[in-house]
Amino acid sequence: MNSEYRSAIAAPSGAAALLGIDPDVLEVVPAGLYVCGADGTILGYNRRATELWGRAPGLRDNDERFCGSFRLHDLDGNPIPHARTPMAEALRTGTACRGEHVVIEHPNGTRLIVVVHIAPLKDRRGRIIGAVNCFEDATEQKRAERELEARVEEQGAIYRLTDSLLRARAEEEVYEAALDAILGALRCDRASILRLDGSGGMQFVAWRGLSDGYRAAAAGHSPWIADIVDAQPICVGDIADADIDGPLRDKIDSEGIAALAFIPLVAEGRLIGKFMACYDRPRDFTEGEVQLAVTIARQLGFSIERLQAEEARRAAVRELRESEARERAHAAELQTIMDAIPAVMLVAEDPECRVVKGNYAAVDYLRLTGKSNFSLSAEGGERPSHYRVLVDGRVLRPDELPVQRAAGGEEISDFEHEIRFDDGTSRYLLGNARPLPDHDGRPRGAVAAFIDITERKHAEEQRALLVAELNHRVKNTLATVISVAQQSFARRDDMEEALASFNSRIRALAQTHTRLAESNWSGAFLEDILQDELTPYLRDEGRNVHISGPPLPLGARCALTLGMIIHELATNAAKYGSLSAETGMLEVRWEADRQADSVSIHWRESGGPEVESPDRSGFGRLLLERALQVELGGDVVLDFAPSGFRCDIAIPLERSAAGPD
Amino acid sequence: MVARVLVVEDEFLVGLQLEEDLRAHGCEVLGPYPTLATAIEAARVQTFDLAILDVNLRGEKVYPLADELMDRGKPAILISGYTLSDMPDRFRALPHLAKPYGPHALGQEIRRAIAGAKSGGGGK
Repeated sequence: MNSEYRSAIAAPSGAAALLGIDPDVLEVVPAGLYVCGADGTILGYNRRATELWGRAPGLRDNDERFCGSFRLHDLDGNPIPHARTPMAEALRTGTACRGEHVVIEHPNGTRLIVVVHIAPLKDRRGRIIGAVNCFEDATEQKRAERELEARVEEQGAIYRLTDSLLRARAEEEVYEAALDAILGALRCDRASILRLDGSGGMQFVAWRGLSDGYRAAAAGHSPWIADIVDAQPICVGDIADADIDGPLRDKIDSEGIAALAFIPLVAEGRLIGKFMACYDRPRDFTEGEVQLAVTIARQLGFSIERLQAEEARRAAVRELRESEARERAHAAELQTIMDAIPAVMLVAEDPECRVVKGNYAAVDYLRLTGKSNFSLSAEGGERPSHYRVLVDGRVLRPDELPVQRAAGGEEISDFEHEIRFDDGTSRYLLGNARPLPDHDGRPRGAVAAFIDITERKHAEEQRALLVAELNHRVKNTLATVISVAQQSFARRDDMEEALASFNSRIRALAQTHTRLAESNWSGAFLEDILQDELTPYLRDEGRNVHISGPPLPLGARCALTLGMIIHELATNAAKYGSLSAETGMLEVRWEADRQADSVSIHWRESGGPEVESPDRSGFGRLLLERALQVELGGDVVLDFAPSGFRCDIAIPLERSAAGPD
Repeated sequence: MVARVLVVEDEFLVGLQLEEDLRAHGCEVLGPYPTLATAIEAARVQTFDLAILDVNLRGEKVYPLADELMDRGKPAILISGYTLSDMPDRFRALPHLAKPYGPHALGQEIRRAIAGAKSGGGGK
């Protein structure tokens, strides 16, 4: 080649002359240089030109016009016929060419990118007589430029990815942005993203340019075990060399995938999936590409992690809201139930009972409003002040109250207390209080329910009063009986007679008691008492006794005293008076004079034996003259007329009707 | 034992019995006074060594008179059908006879009350 070159350079002295340059000067130029004549034939070139062409063209050879290369291409690889080279253009149009790039193909297939500078040569009249082409190898420079462009493109892709990922709100957006970056930065032909499923397999979640059939075949496979700690990228430069068999191999082949890279996706230190870059042609994966892929994968992993954290946070917020809503619904439900319960219910919402709420019954009972704080432990302004709580007449301190004690952890049962209002009225409550435990079992409040036992309490009081009264009455009656016995026996020498009169007096007393009991001790009618006493002495169908007067109700005390007096009068009449004789008559009249405020009773005996001098010391006289006065404030006038005994009794109207005691 | 006893009792027959019992014990009887008003008046003007008070006087309690006598340091015996627990605490220290009582118990209480009064422990 050297010798060939030399001959070539030596030969065109004409060319050198044409150029007006010393041929040696051509060699000095540190670039390929050749000269064409106006017809395009090569007139001369230097050694560097032969190196760049990879051959030495013939001089003035009509078959080798315009360019000494074996073949020419543009940068995109399209062939450029020699007749359409920049040199041919310069010779035809006289335009210069500065810094154009073309690809020279050597006969052995080697390709070089060269940068071309062409200057047309003209004679004095301006006719084109030739052109000189100065060209130099620009392969490295161009490669570097392309590399730079690629880096710029990669950086752009990464930048766009970062930007998109930051804006992404859903995993689908993250996947799309990642696919853009994978295709753009890794310059692959197809790509997909897969996520680890629950069973350790990978499932497609996003893809570009992969068929359904391929995805169906590839889904579920994973190049790593699920719990791998440090998954590394796997690059297959030529699928033909890979150890893949069976249907997947067929699918990969029919899909036209020639090279593959699997890049693991990691979030929070755990493998969560992979992305796959697919190439239509076999290739060598460079360290830089792998690093770039790992960077994209890391970005993608971070984004998924961030979205998952956000989703978890949103889920937590949602859960909180839902649980709050449930809580509210539950509280409303509870309130409804509480309000429907016709017992006083109180709920303390804190262990210190600063706030206590009540249901409708409590509002009504304690004379508060639904918004009131029912707590007697509350701050001054909120605390109810119109009632006090008492047990056995003692006002309780707030810490002694059932709700407060329950909030302190006690279980209070059958707690009976009095609510004493400022207006002087009292109500009584009976109920239970229980602590409300929190999650740890500590009291966070308390609930209490009480029933109104005021009626029962009053009934109990009433009963106690009645028992005491009954006691009093029974004891008094016994004392009276003892007194009657004393009077009956002390005044008689004849025991049998004394016993008989004692018995009859007690029977009379019992009879009046029976009358009073019939009316619940509200009283008895004078007519009834008279009839009770006189019935044993009736003769001729009662024609010997006349009683007449208006209905006259007597109080218990008056009925008892008058009963005994009438008994004494009747027995006396039966023994000595008109009721002792067949012809004897007895008339009893009475009237109530409201103006004089008195009741008068007139006892008239007639037709009996002649009346004898009265027995001044008799029990009957004692009753008439003293008991009537002492017990009833009454007066009596006795007339022992020989024709018949007469007795006039006057009692203040008010005293006649007075109550039992 | 000769003592003047003020008797307050509204039940005639019970008062009659009490009167006779007291006389049997050698006492002189003032009353019986059947109402609180007459009893209080009598207690203020009469001279007596001992009062026997029925608690219930026609629905009225004898307590005001009992208080007055306690203040004066006059010995008094309460008589009632009630039990002590039915009465106010301040009267629990007073001698009490539950109806119906026997003459023996009455005599005992009278002697005790008078002896207490003489030793200075019967009143305040």
